[in-house]
Amino acid sequence: MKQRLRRVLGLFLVMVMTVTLFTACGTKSNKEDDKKAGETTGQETKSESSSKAEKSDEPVVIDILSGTITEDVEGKLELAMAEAYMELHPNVTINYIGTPSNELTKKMTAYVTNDDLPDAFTLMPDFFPKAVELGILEDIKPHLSDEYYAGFLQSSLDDVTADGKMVRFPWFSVPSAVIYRTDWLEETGMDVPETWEEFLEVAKAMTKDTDGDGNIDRWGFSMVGTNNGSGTSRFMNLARNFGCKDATFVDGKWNSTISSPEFRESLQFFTDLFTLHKVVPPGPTETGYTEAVNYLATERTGMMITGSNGMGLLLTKNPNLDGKLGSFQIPEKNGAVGASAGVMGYSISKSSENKEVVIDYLKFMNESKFAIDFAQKTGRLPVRKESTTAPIFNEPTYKGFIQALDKVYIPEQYPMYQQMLDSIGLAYTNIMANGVSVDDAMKELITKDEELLKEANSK
Amino acid sequence: MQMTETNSKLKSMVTYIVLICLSAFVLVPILWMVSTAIKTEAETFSLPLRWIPENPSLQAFKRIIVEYPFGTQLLNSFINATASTVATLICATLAGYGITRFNFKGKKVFMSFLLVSQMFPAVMLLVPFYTILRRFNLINSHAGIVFVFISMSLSFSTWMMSSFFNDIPRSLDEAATIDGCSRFQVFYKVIMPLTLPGMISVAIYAFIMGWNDFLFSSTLITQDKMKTLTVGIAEFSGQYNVLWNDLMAASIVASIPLIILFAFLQKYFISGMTAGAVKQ
Amino acid sequence: MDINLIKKKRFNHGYLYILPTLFFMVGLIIYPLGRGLYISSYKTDLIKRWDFVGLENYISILTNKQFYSSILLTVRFTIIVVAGHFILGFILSHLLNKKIKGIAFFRAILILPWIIPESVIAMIFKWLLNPLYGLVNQTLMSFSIISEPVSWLGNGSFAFVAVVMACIWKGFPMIMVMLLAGLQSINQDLYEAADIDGATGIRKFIHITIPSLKGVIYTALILDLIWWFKHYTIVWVLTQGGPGAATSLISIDIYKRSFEYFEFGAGSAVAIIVFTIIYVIKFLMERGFKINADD
Repeated sequence: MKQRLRRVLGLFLVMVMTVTLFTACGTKSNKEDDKKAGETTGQETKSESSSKAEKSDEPVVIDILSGTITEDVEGKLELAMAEAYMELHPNVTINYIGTPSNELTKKMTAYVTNDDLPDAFTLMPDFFPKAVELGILEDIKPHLSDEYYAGFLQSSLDDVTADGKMVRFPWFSVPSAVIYRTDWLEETGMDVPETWEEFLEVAKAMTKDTDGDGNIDRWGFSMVGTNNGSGTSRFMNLARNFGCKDATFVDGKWNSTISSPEFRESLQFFTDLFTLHKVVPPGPTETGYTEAVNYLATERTGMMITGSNGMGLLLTKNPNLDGKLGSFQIPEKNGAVGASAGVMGYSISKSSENKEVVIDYLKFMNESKFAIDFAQKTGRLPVRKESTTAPIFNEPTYKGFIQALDKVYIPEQYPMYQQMLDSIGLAYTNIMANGVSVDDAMKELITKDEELLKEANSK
Repeated sequence: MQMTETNSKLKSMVTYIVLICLSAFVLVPILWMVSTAIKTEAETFSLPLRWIPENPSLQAFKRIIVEYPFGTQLLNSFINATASTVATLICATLAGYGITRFNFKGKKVFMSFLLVSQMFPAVMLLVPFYTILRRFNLINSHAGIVFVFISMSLSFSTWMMSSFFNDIPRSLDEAATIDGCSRFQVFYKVIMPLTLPGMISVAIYAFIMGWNDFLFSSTLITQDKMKTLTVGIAEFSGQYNVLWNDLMAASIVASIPLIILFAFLQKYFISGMTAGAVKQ
Repeated sequence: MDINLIKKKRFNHGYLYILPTLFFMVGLIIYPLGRGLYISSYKTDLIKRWDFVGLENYISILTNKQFYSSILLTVRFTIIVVAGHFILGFILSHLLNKKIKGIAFFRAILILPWIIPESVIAMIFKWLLNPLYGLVNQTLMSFSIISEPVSWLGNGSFAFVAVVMACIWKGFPMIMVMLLAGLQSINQDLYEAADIDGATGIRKFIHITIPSLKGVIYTALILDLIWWFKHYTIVWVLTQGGPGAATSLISIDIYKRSFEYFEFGAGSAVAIIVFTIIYVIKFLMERGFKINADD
């Protein structure tokens, strides 16, 4: 009896298996293929037509790989723009490929190596030099009228230009500055710091034990000390204000800032904030951007180096902070070269067949009504002159960010940039987490730097 | 007699204590995940921490189910995992039978090849997989993902199945052959039904592999409507903001189908393995 | 004579049965492997640059100190994680094999980590270990075991321990289940016979349990070694290989070389070396266990 039951069950399973194999795999993949085929043929026809007459009613699908679309506030606003655009142009479908920023590079790699890039994509700053080197980015300038081109703020144009080519379409800019607690600064009775010494004094004064249990529970500085793009780019902003230029191309040779005394000084200062002065919450090397912002939002820290979008994010996370936040320019030493302008915008793939449509959409996103609204809600500043009427430019809380726009530093496209940042991150995490001395870390760093320079100069 | 009784009581006490301690080791992270999921965002960051939130709320669950393409992702995960499980099962069962019932050249090579195939770091398979799927126009299709899942779980599954078939006496085959069954009939009418528990173990294994995959799904899927649960969960930890309560809620919801599945089938899973699946 | 004939007939059928498996294996394993081997002899970003360099990638890797420290770290990581799996697995499989009340309940709970996706587990542990808002620090502080928050992932030695713990947590159920299955298939008559002989528990364990489980242990051990030697996800999410190089496993090195520096040649070369190392381990283990992988 039991045996028969088993046999029946077994047979049944075989049948199910075979049926599902053919239906589940077979028909589904067929359907998929059909769909695919439909899509590709659609794309082909469209590509021909789009170059001829983009305003025709041929259906066009543009794919945009986006790191902003997955963010809560930004994503919703961006989707609304896309919908508004599609309503105006019923033949256009905008397909966002949302990818969390930390997955972007991996995904891009798969696309790039298979020559399968979406029409437009977000480029992470650390991947930027590589992308330029790979030659996958369309020069956007020839697609724009001179008049439109001139309508961008100069700082934005500088930041998106590489080798004389406009490789990103500026959308917003998040210049770097320091967000601070105005009420806490008042408490200390000090002025807004302008030098690093003053910064340190303020940070020390803000650090205290508020509930009197003998443990420090409030810190002056929300440091992002992780060894990743978010941490290293922030450190570079600090280093630039000690006078470091990331890497320079002089007389046909690359030089890096690492062997300069200014660099050593900045590394020492940065790591001392934690190891010596203890004005940073525990565990800076595991404190990424999100954690650092959380410390500020939950009123555990008083200052943080961040892009202007940090302001919007903080107020969303903790509305009680409204009126208690301000910003000042990153303190500087003599010879400071400035902070990054943080211009973000989509790059267009050289292989895209819908460049004109994409550009038209990106222009649409830059229209004042959207740009100003976007800025007010997210703290991401407009990049076009006509949008500088945005009230955000006159808000006292954003003062430091607006001032930062006057002195932006545009790094050169050093091919070993990513490796260089990674080795710098390794150095400061080693100092702060593993008790390595600054001298030893510098020694290792310089050896690595020489290797990288050799590699870069051999190309 | 008395002695042994207290002795065995003591023994089972110890057993329970150890089991409870180790279960706690397993449960603390999971319960903390549940606790976080029913907190408001503000409370996730308020000290002192509480196991039972002041204002428990199911808002996070509501958000992910209502505001999020949750149903689509669930369905995608289900289709991918199921299809790959079925296909893996077919291939592994056939191969398992073939390996144990036939002698052919290269069998040894094939067997060690199954193991060797597990040795190449998965990260390096990303780009080649993308290339292959693209060539056959399978990016963003269930079929493409299913192929990848199969190749990931097939070697262990085949291994399990072949040791399983090994335990079934050859005399059964011969008896059935004498009864006039063809080779294939012997396989699917006589021998395969006996391996049902083993097949269930393989199915559970393959299903979990497929359901939980993140590395490949996140790279090989580029359209929202094809995204799976694990890919969706990753999006909760954006660059600028991590909503821990939503993230935990999503993780819980993604694990529930597996827990249910397992609750029903775990008996078979272990007995399937027992019946010989993991022996050499 | 007859038997030989049958064997000859069966010869072809065998291939038919393994054909589907072979198809997937070749398409999705052999090809990437071959391609990896090919790429490893180039300096390449897979797009613009294809400079044939022969064995240069291998040479520069094998003469690099960092590579060896990374391999050593990976070996240490693997040994501790696998040992952890086996210790927990042995204890639990024994306990779960007893016929006592509520065993199904414990079994269901103890299998949970295996069911939860790796990426989720990594996030849970990161949240538990958060210096200010993590459960671990808060609990330790409320019991006054530590006086101020400890940064578990921000300190080289702690980070390694934390990563290992998370990986043990994730991986032990698999070993537990395999050993449990092995235990259940041991013939109970053996134990009864031993009881009659008056053997103690430990002697029974050494003379009956271990030898009967040899096959299972070998299988579980080799698979576990392979899986965790090339592990990536949990470590990447928790520490990204840091702080410093404290948790920089070889798989993280491969990832960084390939996907961050775009040096696919070097990345593939490391992957091939890892492959070779695992293969050698497998070979040595086979010898150690005196087992032929084929039967």
